[in-house]
Amino acid sequence: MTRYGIAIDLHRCIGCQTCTLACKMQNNVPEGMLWNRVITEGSDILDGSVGTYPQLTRTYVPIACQHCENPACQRVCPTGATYKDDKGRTQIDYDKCIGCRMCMAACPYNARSFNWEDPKRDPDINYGDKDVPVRPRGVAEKCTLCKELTDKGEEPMCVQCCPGMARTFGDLDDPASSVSEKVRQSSARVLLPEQGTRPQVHYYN
Amino acid sequence: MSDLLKRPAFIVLAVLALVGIGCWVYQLATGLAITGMSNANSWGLYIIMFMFFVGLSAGGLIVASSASVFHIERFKAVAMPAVILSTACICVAGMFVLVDLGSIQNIWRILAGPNFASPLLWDMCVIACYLIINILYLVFMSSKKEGAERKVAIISRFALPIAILVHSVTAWIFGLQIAKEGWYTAIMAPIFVASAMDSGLALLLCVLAGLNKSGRFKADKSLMSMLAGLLGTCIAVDAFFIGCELLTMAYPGAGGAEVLAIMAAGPVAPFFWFEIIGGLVVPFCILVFAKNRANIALVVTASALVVAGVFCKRVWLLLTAFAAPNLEGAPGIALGTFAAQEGGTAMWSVYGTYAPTFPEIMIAIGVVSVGAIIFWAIAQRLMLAKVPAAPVPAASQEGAATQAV
Amino acid sequence: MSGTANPRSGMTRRGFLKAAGITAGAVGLTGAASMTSADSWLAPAEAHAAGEETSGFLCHMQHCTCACSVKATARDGRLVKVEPHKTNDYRYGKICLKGISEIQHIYSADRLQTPMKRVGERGSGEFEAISWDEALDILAAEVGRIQDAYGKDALLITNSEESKARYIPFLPRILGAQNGGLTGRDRGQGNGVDPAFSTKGLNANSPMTIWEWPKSKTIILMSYNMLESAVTYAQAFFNAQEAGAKIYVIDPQYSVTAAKADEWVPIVAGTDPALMLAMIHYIIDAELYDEGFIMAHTSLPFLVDADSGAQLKDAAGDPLVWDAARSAAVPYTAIGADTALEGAYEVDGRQAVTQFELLRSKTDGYTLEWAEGITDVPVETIIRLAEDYAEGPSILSGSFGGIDKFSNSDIAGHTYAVLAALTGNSGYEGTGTGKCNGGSSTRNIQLTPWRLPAEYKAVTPPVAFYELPYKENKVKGALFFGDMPTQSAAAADNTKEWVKSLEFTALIDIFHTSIADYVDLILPVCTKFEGTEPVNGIRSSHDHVYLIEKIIDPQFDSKTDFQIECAIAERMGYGDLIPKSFEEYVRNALDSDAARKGGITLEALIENEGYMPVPKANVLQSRFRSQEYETPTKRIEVYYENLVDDDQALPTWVRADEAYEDNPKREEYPFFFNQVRSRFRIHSNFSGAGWIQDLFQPHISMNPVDAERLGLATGDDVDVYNDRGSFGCALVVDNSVRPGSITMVESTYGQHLNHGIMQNVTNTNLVERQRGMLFGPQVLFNDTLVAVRKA
Repeated sequence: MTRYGIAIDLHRCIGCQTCTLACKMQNNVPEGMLWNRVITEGSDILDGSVGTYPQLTRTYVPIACQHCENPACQRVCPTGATYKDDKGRTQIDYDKCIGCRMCMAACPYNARSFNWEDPKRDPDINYGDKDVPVRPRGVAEKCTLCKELTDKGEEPMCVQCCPGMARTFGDLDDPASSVSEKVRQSSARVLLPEQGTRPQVHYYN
Repeated sequence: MSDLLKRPAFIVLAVLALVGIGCWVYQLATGLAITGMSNANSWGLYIIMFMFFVGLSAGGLIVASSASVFHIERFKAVAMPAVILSTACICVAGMFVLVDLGSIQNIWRILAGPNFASPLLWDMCVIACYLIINILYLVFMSSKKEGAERKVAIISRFALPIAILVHSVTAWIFGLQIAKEGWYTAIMAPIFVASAMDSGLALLLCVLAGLNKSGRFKADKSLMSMLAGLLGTCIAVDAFFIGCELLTMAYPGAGGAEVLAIMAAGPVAPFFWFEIIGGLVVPFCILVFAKNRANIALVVTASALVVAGVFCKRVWLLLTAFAAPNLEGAPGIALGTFAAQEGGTAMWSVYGTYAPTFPEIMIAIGVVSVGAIIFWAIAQRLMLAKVPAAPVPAASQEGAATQAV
Repeated sequence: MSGTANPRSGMTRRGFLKAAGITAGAVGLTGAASMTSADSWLAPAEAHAAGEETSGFLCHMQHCTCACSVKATARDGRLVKVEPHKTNDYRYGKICLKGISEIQHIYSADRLQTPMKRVGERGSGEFEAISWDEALDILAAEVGRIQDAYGKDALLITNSEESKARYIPFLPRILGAQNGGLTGRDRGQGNGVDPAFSTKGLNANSPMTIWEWPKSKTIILMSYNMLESAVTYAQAFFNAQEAGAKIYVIDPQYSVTAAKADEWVPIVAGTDPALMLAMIHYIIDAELYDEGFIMAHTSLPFLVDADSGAQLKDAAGDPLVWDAARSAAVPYTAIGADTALEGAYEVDGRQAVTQFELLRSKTDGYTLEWAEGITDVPVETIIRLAEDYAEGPSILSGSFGGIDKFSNSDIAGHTYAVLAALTGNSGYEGTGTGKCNGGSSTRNIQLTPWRLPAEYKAVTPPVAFYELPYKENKVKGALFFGDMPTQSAAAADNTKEWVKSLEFTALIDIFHTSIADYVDLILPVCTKFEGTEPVNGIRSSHDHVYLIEKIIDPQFDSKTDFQIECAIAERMGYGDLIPKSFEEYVRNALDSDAARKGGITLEALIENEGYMPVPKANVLQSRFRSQEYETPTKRIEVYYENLVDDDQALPTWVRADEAYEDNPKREEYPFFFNQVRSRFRIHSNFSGAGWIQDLFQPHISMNPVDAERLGLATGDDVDVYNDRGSFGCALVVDNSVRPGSITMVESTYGQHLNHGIMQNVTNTNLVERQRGMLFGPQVLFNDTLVAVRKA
């Protein structure tokens, strides 16, 4: 089996948000929503720090769909619109989505966006990869692990563009892959492990 | 029906229903962005009302079916209004699920490819069963044919467990979501059943009092007192369950305590405290005394408080879970709403916030109005119009038609 | 526009860019009068067409120093994708959020769309759209009139970095205008470092390439927020850390780079030289210096007249050293085992001391405790810094921000040179001093400037731009290619007044920058993605030659800067001097021995997807590997004899001009105004990029301690002011900011602030000492005190 995943080196993440915009561009993500975002952990302002000057720390955490092996979103979807594909990615069949947003309530990572209205784009064209389906109003959407690129054997756009080379993409079922190697590191962890979702996005320092 | 149209109250309801339908059409044409919901708080008033009305529908059916199952003869007197109320409320609950859907045109997909792991699917099934049982109940109760009473007795044996189940399954939509600290608890189903019992009974009492006042239906005063006593018991059970839950949340001083802090001191605090004090403590203190239970005004006051309290509970239960995302940090969650699509840093929120919008409130009022019309229409046909004077049997049809919207 | 919470709710929201394939030709050069709104430009929306895709390659931004090699894709005549150029070296085939944001940025509401002439008062911002013909007529007439009346050099042409990004402009030479000269920024530390190595030129202060950092053990970054200002350098930063280098960041602000460093050393802004002087003191005191290196490669053994400060030299002009064995002064060329490093000697009846001795006595008072008192850096931290640095191999990198914008920036630079000389952290693998560099600046091929007859040359401005409002000068008219004016001078109100006082000014720019409202004529330039020829730009940087290929047609009624220069030259009667096409320009640019040696031709570049490395581009080698410096003695000469009168022959502590802790002015203006770089801007560029505005809006940041005292909270609108001017924007309370200071990301177009622009408040003083230095006096952007009040 193929089980695609990403390992992210949090020390190498400089919070630049290049992945945020790379994803937006590649996947034609409309205004007001993002499939990938980088939060400044524990701060209510971007680039804020935790602590009191000068005893400060700051951690950036990129968050997108975690492509969980045990996806809470897929479990609750009444129509099977959310599914795990043959490469271990969590996907949405937009034609099947009834827009109940059960998946959004179930996702522990707030990784999903809903098309609350007709998507607006700025500029007002379909940018990015022409093979990415355009989502209609009233359906949920999220990171597809750049299905259109990874199906062709390319890396997801966030991985390609990361200036700090913090991201490693590959097959977690292949023990020889570089992503598996990163995941074996002692500091490797997943987000919210207590949720039991078994994410395929791993983080390490 | 025709005389209904002459009643100002009915006209008001009809207008509100039409305004609500108009807003819903607007919502269909524009999208759910006209509501106050966002990616950070993805369920709102509709789901609050859904939970609330599922609960309200319970009391009626439980009272009615108890009459048969447990042979509590006195309850039989109010079985008819109780089941009509139950039917109307479950229709309202179902309508709230429908108005909350973003892509209602895809709803057939549930039948085409159901995912049996989804609590939402279970709930839709159970609600459908529940509605059918309610309707059968009404048909059998109103039937003058031979053996109708036996049929009522049989159906009531199904009705009671289904009524319990419909609340449990609704609870599981929330209670099985490990992602939401404020929801994920085994006691969610018992709490829902208890809240359903007290809010449903309370609503039934209010309706009975109203019918009494209209003079067209006579509910025995002592029966009302007895129901009030039952309500008091239900409140106590509800309070006990909620107390268990709150203690379990607070005691470890961990994640649950943080959620509790949002409830008790956060933006939903007014709802929380109203529910605890106005919805549980005060009505219980009123109803615990027999002489108060004999006072219809006090019973109605207590009942109204219970209904309002349970509504508040639905509000804080739903919204608390969205208030603080599991992964907290700026800039937060991209909201995806109208304002968010205008761009700028206003597109983000670190915390989930929500306030219903005007059209959203109008849709909710409209749905409730449709429910009231359904009740009124069925009641008119089955209870009040003892002499079948009205030539047009339109009431139930209209109810059904509105339902299908 | 000002004061609106959402700058994107303007024009872009009308969905005016639906049409595919807008060409300059379509709207034409014919009359465009009254076409002031974008809506009228465009044909009706077309359905999303078949999706015909074309791609090209370009070097995106040079100004952040990254020079990303990117691939851009157009569909239906619109830019739809910008991604790293994967075939290029991993170090250069990169991108950051700014490159990606161009998808929207090139269509942003701030884009200048059509030629415009001023109709209201200067500064009112009232313009009317005109045709290119009319615009060029006006420009040619006004420039011609000014040059006829006052001389050719009465015309000033300024070029912002972005306006030089595609080719080397030739219009200043054709018109004989004033052009170039001192910039007053980014070169403060360079003023102090340069004489020791005599590297000449901005990039020559970057003798080390970041790709060599993994060879270092200690890297000290002076307020260098490289992980934001040069985002794609992140790889080098982390590669170095993973290879075992310890990275210190000395910065008042807890920047992204500070957060990722091994150790952040918070410091009082403007006191860096005190820290470095204490490090020098400690290194000498603890004998951590490298005597062998000092003797072999520095001027520290040279003798100096103790009274006059003059260096002792022999008849041939060679500096003298003291031979202890012979008890005599001998030329430095005879340095050997007996040469004295320390001590005072009598030479020909004069009292002489070695530079080392002088340095020791000079830094004697710069104790660790003294430095802690000034810098707020604890004694033990200074010791750790000094010990780690002395052990080496170490890098000491300045930056374009922080101390560089204080009055004592040259002194800071001087201390870096002294530290390198003392410890031998120079020339060897993994060492370096000055500013770091993403490529090896020594190998870049010089592109041949457009050939012009010898009499066509620009005049170096006798008065630097930032002094024009204050000093008598010849300038009567100006053509601003890009908004240099509001970004390169202090107290921008004065600059604007000066611009208004000129007889004629024009702005040739892509976006509605802060100076736009003050000029008489605006000509819209297209972005580097747009062009009329297959190739519209050529760059030589980071050991590569890059083409800038056409991705889409010029949008709106804009033209390439090349077209505009040619059109102006033609209109003024110099048509025979200009290239016939950009292709001819490129062929001329590559007409050099260096290019021929590397086989770099237009055809070869196109064949190789628009880029070619210069010979040996991948061989890591910093400058001075041979320990041959470019000074007269080929040694690191740390003694600046020309500064004896300023007591800066060896670095001496001088506090900042205005932003220092016990300045009595702080009672009125309590905050240090710290201008910083971020990943969201390159100076003001990208201010109008909507996708970036979603993440970042202009604001000042203040520590919670100060905010609480002033009763301010995040989101409040504030006025920042001093006796020079004011501006207004939002406030963010941020504990990353040093108490007593506010920070603001430079820079933003005025229309995105509540009022004014940030440079309205900047300190106008200049340091006279710096007049004799290579880069001249520096503008004291950060050496500025301000007050903040709720708007």
